[in-house]
Amino acid sequence: MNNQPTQETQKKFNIKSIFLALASLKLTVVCLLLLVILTIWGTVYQADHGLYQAQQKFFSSWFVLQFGVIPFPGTVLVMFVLFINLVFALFFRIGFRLAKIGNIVIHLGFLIMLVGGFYTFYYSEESTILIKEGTTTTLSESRTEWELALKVTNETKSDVYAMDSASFKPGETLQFKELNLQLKIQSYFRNCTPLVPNQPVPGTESTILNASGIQKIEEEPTHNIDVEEYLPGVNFQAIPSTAGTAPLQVILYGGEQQETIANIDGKEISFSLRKKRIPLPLSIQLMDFTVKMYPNSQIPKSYESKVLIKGEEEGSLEREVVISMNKPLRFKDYTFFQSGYDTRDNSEYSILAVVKNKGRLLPYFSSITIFLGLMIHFLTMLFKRRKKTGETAEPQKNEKR
Amino acid sequence: MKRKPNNHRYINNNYMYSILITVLLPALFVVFTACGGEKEVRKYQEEQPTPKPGKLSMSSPHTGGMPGSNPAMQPHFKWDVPTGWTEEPKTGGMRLATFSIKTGGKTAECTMIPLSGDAGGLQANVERWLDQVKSTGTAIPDKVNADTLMKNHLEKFLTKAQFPGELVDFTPVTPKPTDQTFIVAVIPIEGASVFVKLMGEKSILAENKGKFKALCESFAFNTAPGK
Repeated sequence: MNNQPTQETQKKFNIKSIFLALASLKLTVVCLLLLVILTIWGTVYQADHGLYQAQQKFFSSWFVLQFGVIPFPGTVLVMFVLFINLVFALFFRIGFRLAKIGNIVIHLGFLIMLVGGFYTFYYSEESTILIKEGTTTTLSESRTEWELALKVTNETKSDVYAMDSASFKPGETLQFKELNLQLKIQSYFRNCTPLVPNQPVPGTESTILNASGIQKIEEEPTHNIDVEEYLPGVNFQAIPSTAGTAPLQVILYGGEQQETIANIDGKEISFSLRKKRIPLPLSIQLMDFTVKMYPNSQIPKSYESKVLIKGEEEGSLEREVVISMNKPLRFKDYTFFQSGYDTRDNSEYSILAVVKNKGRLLPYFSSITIFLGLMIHFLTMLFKRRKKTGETAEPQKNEKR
Repeated sequence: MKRKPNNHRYINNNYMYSILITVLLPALFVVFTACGGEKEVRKYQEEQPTPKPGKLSMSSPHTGGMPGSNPAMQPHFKWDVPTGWTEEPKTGGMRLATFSIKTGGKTAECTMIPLSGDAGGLQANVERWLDQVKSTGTAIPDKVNADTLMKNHLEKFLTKAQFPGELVDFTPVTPKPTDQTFIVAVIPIEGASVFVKLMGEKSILAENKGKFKALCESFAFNTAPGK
C-alpha cells in the first residue's frame, strides 16, 4: 500500500492551506489592527499637514511610504485584503449551511459595505458652490481638479468642451471632434510659475498665444504645498482640421483670470485652464442666507441658505428648500451641505459642499443586511437553546414517571 | 456530525467561486476605472458672466495684441506714482504697471502683477523670492529663511481702499549695499492678489522703501469711468 501522498493530493493540500490561511480569523484581526493604526496615524498627520494630504497618504493609498522607501500597508490595501478574507471565510470557514444562515447574512452585509467603500473611493466626486444672494447657478467647482476648457460663446450661453487635465502627458494628442480641433500637449505641470518677459523687443512678435503675455512656464515643487494651492500650466499646439491652416502654440496658466481667445476656422474659441466645473442636474438660486451668532459675539453659531431649486428636466417644478448645517439637500445622486459663508462686495455668499455618489445607498443596505443577519443568528440560537432545554427536560420527566 | 474533509468536488467548487469573486470583481473595477472618462470630452453650458464693478480685472486694452481681446475692458485700479519714479508705458502682459527708479547712476525696477487666488500663499512666495535673491549672487546668511523673514521683516499695512497688505523687506538680511535684493508687498483683492515687487541694489531700495510703501498704500479702485 502506498502511504506517500500523490503529487496531486499534495498540490491540492498546499493550495487548500493557502486558502484556509486567507480565510483565517487571525488575518481578520491583523487587518482590523492595521486599520486602527492607520486611523490614529492619519489623524495625527492631519493636524500638521491638512485633511487632504492625510486622506491621500493614509486613506486613499495602497501603501504608505515611510522615509520614501519603507512601505506600510495603506487603507485601500488593508480593505482589499479584508474583502478577500471575508469571501474566503464564507466559503472555507463558515460554509453554506442552513444552520449558519445568520452568520452568512452578516458577512454578506460586511461585503456589501466594502464594495460600497470601493465604489465611493473610485466614483464619488466632491465639489463646491460659491453662490451670491439673488443669483442662480447650475455648476459646482472642484477644489483640487483642473480642466482644460474650450468655450464657444453664443448669445446668452456658452458651450464648453472640457477635458480633465490631471492625466495630460507630453506628446499626447487630445481630440475635440465637435470643434474639428486637435490639441497636442508639449508640457503639463501640476504646479508651475509663469515667466513674463520684461519688455518685448519692438518689432518682434511672440509666436506663443497667451492673453496675459506668458511666454514660458516653469515647474514648481508640489511638496509642502496644499494641493488646493497648486497652479498648473500647460503648453500645447492647437491643430485645426482644415488643411493648410497653421497650428497655434498656446500656453495656459491656472493663475490667469482671463481666457486666451483665438479664431480657428472662422470660430472664436476661448481657451482656459481652470478648476473643473461640474454641471448639476438642477439649478439653485440662493434666495436668502442667514447667519446666527453666539450672543454678544461675532462667532457664527449656525448658518443656513434658503434656495429655490428646479430640476433640469422639462416640466420640473420649482421648490423652496432650506439647507443648513445639519440638514443637507439630497437630489438624485447629489447631496448639498452647508459648508460655510463669505462676505465680499458688501454681499453675502453661501458656500455649499456638493458630493456626487451613486453608491450612497450601499452603506444603508449593508447596515440593514447586517442587522437582519444578527436577528436571524440570535433567533436561530434562541430556538436551538429552547429545543435543547426541551430535549433535556423530556428525559427527566420520563425518569420521574 | 457529517464531515466533508476529503470531498474534492466540494473544495474544487469553493476554489472556483472564491477565485471568481476575489479576482473578477476587482478586475471589473479596474477595467471600469481605466475606461473612465479621463480623456473624455465633457460638454456643458455656462451662463455668460456679468461684469462685476470693482472686481479685479487683469484685462487691459493691450493684451499683447491677441486676436479677439476685448478693448472695452479697462483697468479698475489707480495708484499714486511716487516722486522721482517713472511709470513705464504699458506694453501688454500680466503687469498692471512697471516703474523705473534712477538715482546716481543706479537703477531699480518696480512691478505690479495680479495673480489668481493667493498664488500659493505668502510663505511659499517668500521662499521663492529668497531663492531668487540668492540666485543673483547675493550671499544671504544660511540662518535666514522664510520663517525668520516673516517673523522679523514683515510689515502689515492698509491701502486707501482698505485692502490689508503685507510687505516683506529683504534689505536687512542683504549683506552689501551693492547686492541685488527685493522689497515685496502682497495686496489681496476680491479673490486675487496683487504682487508689488521692488528689485535692485540694497542701497537704492533702502532709500526708496518709504516711497514703495506709499505706492502700495495708495492702491485704490478707479471710480472714474472709461479711464
